[in-house]
Amino acid sequence: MTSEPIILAGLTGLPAFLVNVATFAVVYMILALGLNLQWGYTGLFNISVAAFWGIGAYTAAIVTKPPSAPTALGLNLPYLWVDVAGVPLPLAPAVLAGALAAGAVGLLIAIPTLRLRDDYLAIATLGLAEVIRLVLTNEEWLTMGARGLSVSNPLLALDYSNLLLLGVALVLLGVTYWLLEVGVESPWGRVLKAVREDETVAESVGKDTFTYKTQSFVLGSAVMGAAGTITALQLNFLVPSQFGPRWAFYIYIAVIVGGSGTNRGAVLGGLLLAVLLELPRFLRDFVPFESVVTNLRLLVIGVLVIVIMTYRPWGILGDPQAMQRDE
Amino acid sequence: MASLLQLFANGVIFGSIVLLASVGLSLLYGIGNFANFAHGELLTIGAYTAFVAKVTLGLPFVAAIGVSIVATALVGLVLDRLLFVRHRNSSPIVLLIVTIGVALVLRSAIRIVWSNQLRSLGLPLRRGIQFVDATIPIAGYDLLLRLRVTQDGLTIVAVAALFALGTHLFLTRTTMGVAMRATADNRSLAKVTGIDTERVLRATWGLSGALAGVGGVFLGMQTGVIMPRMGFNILLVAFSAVILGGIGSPYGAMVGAYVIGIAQEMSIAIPGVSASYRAAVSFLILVLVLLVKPDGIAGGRWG
Repeated sequence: MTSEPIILAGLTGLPAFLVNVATFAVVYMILALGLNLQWGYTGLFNISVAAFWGIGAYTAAIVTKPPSAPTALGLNLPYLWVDVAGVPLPLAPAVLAGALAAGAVGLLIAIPTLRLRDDYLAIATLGLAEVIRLVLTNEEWLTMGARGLSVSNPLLALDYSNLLLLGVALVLLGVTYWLLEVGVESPWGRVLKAVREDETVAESVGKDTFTYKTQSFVLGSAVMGAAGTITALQLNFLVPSQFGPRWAFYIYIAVIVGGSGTNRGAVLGGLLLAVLLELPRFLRDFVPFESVVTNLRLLVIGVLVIVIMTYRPWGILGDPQAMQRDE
Repeated sequence: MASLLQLFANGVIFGSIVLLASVGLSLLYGIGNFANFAHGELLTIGAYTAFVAKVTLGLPFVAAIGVSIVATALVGLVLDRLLFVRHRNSSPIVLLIVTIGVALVLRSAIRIVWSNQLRSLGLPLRRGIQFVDATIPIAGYDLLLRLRVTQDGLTIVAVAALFALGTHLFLTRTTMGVAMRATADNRSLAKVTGIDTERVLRATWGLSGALAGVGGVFLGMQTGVIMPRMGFNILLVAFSAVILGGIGSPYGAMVGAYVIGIAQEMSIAIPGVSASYRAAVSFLILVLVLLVKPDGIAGGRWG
């Protein structure tokens, strides 16, 4: 997400930039919440965050893609997102479609890999991310490949303001946060933490840990897919390279720095990530060597990960127990 | 229709590069007990240091390979000394995340120093040696048998085999090699029997780096391009070879490397599958192995 022009209608100039950054921040927070369910609460090391995010974004773009007229799925249907009293609500069908698609792929990857050790899952999900990126790049009939896919954004047709999209993103963040808090505070969430801390013990008290891990993985992936639908609306144009593997590392950093194993930590981490990633855009105007700035940013992020994992592996608001798993 | 024989030979050459990339990964996995996600960047550093030696300084190519080996071994040793020594008791997952951080740092440092521009080792282009060129009619079909291998390809296969043999001799004939195998089996037990496991881990980082250095040079030589992402691009293939062979078994990794390399190149011949999905083949094999035989070919043992 480096140099797309800000094409949101409504605001212009600095306010538009800030609203845009805020929307990115909310998307990062939602992604971090999804990953925190998998990694922070359940200890599942998933490296394909960008893949699920991308699946959500592309799903949102595809279900609203009009062959010529404003129809969904090429059928003679109205927009999935209908205009209610001048406001394009509900957006829910597209968000649900993105979440379902990502969740379904999550289930496919969970079944063969979740019985195995952490590092297997890490490597397998890295592979999945690569395959998804290949599919997005090569299946031109579906995704337009590297040329990029325009999103037929109903919000644009309704002359929306970029503040409205931020509002929609915030609602999604609120709903996700609330659902996840309820979930992890319930007996279900306690089993997840037990799996994270000692799977054998959880197993020995009669919990089918594989089922719990699968539920956590699929739900977390679905949350990432939902975040993707907001991204589709924000960028209005998708190319596969936007969903490269580096994003998994960025979102990990958000979760780890904010604090693994707490939803508050994930939200804080998402905010910090947005500051870290988007603020250097200001610097571009002042520093002549843009590529150096971009690369220095990555270098700083890498050093941050190393320092945090070495001295405070549970992050700012984290649960120290989240990182104390022994093999 | 491409000659299957040619694809097989290409697979052996690619497998030789994967071998060099995966044996070091496997050693560190077995002895240090963690997945090193920065291993790809060690390959990239190997390629760039060879570039500096060969192109910038004008050294002969053999000397450039030597420079790469020394440089990447040093990077491995420095990483261990500065960072990983603090993580001897960390869980594998903490270590894994640290290596991701190291990968980001190394890759952005490479980009800052050498930029994103594609470079090449500037080796002369040579016509491949024609070994076979025939068509055999079988059951009404003409089976195309064509095999042309460049001198570079032959060098890669031969040198990789030498390094594989060297690693084997090192692990079986030297005190350090035996100590490495003991540490991989059981670190606490090795410590109790008087093995200096600190030295063993240091040596493993050095050896792992050195092998990655040669692998990186060959990768740059084979593809003709050197770029900051080259090592990361091959990391998944190397991991697939390691898992296929059985995590922590360097001999398994050697076999796994050829299986993955040959499968990936020969997948081009499968009708209806775009060649751009070649990179997905190793992932597919990886998942299949995890499903059928999670312990890999060697079952996690040392050959």
